[in-house]
Amino acid sequence: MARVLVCGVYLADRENLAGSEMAELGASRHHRVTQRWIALDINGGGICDLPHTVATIKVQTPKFTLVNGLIEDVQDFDRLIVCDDDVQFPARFLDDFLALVDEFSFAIAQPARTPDSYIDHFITTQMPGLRGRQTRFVEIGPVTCIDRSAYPVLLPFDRRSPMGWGLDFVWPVLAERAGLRMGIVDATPIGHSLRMAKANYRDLPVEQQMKVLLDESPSLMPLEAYTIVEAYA
Amino acid sequence: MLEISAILTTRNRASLLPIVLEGLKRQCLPSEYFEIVAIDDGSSDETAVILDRARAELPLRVLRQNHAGLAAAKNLGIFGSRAPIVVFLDDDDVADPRLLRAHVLAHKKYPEPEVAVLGYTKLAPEVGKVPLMRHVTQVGCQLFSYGWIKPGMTLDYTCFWGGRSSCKRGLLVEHGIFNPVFGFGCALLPDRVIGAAAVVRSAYVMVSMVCCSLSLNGRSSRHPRAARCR
Repeated sequence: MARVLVCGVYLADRENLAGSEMAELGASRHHRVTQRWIALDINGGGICDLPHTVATIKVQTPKFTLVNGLIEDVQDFDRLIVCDDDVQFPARFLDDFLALVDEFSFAIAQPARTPDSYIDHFITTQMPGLRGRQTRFVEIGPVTCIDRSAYPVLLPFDRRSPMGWGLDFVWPVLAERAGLRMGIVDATPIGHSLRMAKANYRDLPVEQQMKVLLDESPSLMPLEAYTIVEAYA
Repeated sequence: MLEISAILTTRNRASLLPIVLEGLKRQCLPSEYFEIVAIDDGSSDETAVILDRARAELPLRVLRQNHAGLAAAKNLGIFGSRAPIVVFLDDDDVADPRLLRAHVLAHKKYPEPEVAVLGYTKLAPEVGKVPLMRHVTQVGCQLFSYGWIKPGMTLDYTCFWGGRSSCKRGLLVEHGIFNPVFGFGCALLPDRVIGAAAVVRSAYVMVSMVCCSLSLNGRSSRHPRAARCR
């Protein structure tokens, strides 16, 4: 039984799926799950009292800035899962997903996205013939799973890109240097169709932050990153 | 240095694979410049054994998936490839020795990311004689209908066919892959196509290059150095 820390941010004044996500993640039968969610209520009047809400923030604040504030004791957990508020999980998600993450020895992992989801990087689309695949790319959201072996490499999340853009091209370099494997689990795909990416942070300088991060850090080019190293049928 | 990845998708074609692989062994492009990425789409015959055996003689990687259809197999091949150009081969294509080199040269001539290349296919005589095949290739022109395509022609996106065609890997991984919902394969792609170049031939396959210029809607990629298509 692993100790799993789930950290998430939900947009309290927008339609979101955080409540059902909390219920699904909390239904794990094989792991001890601790959830910490932050309600982001920029316009006021939102629903901020979902279970596991540890704080309500009223000013626009980047996701990973908030998450960094939730993980000071992350060493007490075997795994960290960072979760957005617009995800549809299949039943028994956490137990099935983590079983495969263990089987494939992924230190950094994500579930694939269903083909009808909004897709930012095509490599994350579910491959129906596979249970999972080792890749050189794991995206920064909507669900990212980090094993304790990767904490020294990835945490705290890089503050130069507080919304996380570009981190997914830096992580593979850091992971490979540390001898860690990363991959995508296809057998437990998540739906991500409530909102398009960027829909809620158009005012943030995410592209400029990403450029600074990638200019200053060793990183992969997209063609290098969008690669399957090994496939698991 | 790898120049081209040949994506060979296959399912239960153990009887044909030896001659297909033989064609790839005879390529005049030196083996350090290409790789074959074979996708075994859940075969239940001797396909796995034949592919494993061929690895001793070919720069061949084998990726296996549970049966999920051609589109899913091609996507696995695209992301499993390592060269900047990918060419799609079916498991009944016998490659002319000049096939891979011809595709590489065509892409060197047309380096723009949106340019794809279509190879010419000559049907095996015993297949071409079948009345149904004669109809679809010469009367209805639904399949393998190359008669109207001339070297240097500009064609539309409908000529970016599923087999014996090649493109830059970046075109697909950054701008659109095959939709796995369509089992047979339907690319999320383009819009406009151009001309033809070399002609090569073999007993089963004749390849003529048709360069397909694919005009894509500019999709915003989450990387500042991602390739942009017109």
